[in-house]
Amino acid sequence: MDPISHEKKLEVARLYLLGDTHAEIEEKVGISHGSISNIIKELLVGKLTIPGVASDQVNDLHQLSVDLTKKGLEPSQALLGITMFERFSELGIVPFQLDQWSQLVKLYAPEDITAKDFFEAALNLRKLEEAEGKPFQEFKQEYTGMQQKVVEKKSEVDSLDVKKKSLTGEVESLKSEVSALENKREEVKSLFEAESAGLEQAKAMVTAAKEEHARLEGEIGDLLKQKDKLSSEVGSKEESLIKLEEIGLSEEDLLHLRNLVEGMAEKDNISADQIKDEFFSALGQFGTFSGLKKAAQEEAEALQDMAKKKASLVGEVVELENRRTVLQGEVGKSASAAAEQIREAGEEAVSAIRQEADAIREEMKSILEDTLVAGLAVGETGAMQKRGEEAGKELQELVVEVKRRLEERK
Amino acid sequence: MTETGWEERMNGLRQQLTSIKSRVHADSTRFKELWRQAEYCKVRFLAYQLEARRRSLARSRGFASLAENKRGLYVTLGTAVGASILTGMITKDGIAAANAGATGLNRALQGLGEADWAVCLGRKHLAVASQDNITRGDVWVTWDSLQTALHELEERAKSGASLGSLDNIISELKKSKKLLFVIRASTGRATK
Repeated sequence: MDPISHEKKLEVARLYLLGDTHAEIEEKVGISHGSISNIIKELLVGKLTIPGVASDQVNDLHQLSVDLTKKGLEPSQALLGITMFERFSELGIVPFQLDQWSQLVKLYAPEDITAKDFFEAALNLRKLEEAEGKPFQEFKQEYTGMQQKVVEKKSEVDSLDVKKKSLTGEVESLKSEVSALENKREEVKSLFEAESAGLEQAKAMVTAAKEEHARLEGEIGDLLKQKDKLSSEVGSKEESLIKLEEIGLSEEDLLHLRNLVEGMAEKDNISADQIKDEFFSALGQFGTFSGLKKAAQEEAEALQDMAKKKASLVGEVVELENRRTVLQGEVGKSASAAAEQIREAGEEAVSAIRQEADAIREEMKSILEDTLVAGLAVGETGAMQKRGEEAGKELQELVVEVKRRLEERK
Repeated sequence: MTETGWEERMNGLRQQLTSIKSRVHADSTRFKELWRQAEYCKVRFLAYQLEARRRSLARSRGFASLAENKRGLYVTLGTAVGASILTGMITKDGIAAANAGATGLNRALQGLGEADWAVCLGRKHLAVASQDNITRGDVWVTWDSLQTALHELEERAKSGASLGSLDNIISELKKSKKLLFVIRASTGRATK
């Protein structure tokens, strides 16, 4: 009988370690049952060694292989089981906890979504927490805070809108006030113009009065002259009558005298006037002798009276003239002062209104600019928020898409 | 309205406007930061998914190689696992023993499954494969160069760049000069 080679003995030893029975080894290697028993004895006592395997581990490894075979497990399946066991261990799960874990999953898994969706959502949440370094509660709080801020911002914008409307209304009111003041200014202006027209009228009246005064002065002069003339005529006639009365001539005598004169004129064939002139001349000569001195004295007195009256009238005229000048000056001054006051007051009021309106306009302009800037900033924040939401949506889509593409390739 | 009342209202309005402006500015800054973080998360998520996929593939490759060379590898792996389990049993703690065995096994599996990796950034699908197993007709880039390009993109996202959809991100990655493309030669081997 040929001795069994060392390679064959190692083959028998490996099959033994793999859990094969004596019969199976006999069938596979093709040597007798007794030889197999001998080889295994050599292996167990250490006479035969497999590289890398200690002799005291041979029995354990054989038993392990037998157990696997009994349970119908392939080595790869056993390795998979060990890998799973390792995973559980890494997660801190011991075998008796598996039932609890299963019950826990059933308890907390929502009914309306599949277990796959639930675990994917949990995984995504965990990854997000790891990536951000924050717990989910913090994300939730941030989101709630941002929602509240958005609501606050909206209410602030609404409030600003309301204030803007209110300010617009006030600006309109101010405009109407300015318009009313403009109207009042126009009224003052028209009043001033009316006063100016009145002043012109007064001036015209003064001029007319002056002209009338001059005319009256002329008339007074004429009247004085006429009076002087009439006075002299009356005086001479009265004197003649007095003289006639003094010499005892009645009207009847004068009538006779007239007839006489007319008769003489007819007789002498000359005019009655000529006879009369000669008559009165003769009579005058007669008077000169008898009462010339008295008549001259009376005449002088009359002249003095007339001179006094004339002086009085001239004084009155001068006084009237002065008074007219004074009045004219006063009227002019008062009208001018009133006009100046009205004009100054109007200009001051208009200037003050303009300044106030300018200041209000500047204030409003500044505030409207600020409001515009704030509105733009709110708009930018809204845009940034939208951009963030879009990025979040894109991130979700990316998660789904990456998974889909990787799954498709499998 | 009196002058004092008018000024009070104007001042109040101005203060409110100033307050609104400052608050709006703060909110805007916060929104901008959130938006930047969202952009950053896009790149991180893509990198994370590709890494998870690579690990899964490495594990599968480890199992596959074990199955293909059952006799040779089984003895080696079985010995390593058995030795680890026995070591664990000495401590008389079952869980510790199992952990020790599983750790040794996982290490061995990972070692078996490791390879030079390549990534396909397609418009229809994303794929990770070892460089000796890439398919024809797709554009493949090396794993390490893609990590560098992703890092560049992360920095850009942090500095406020808008990355957009996945297609945009892939398009941006393909523009990176750091990427090394893997070409499958007619012999079936990959060359860079």
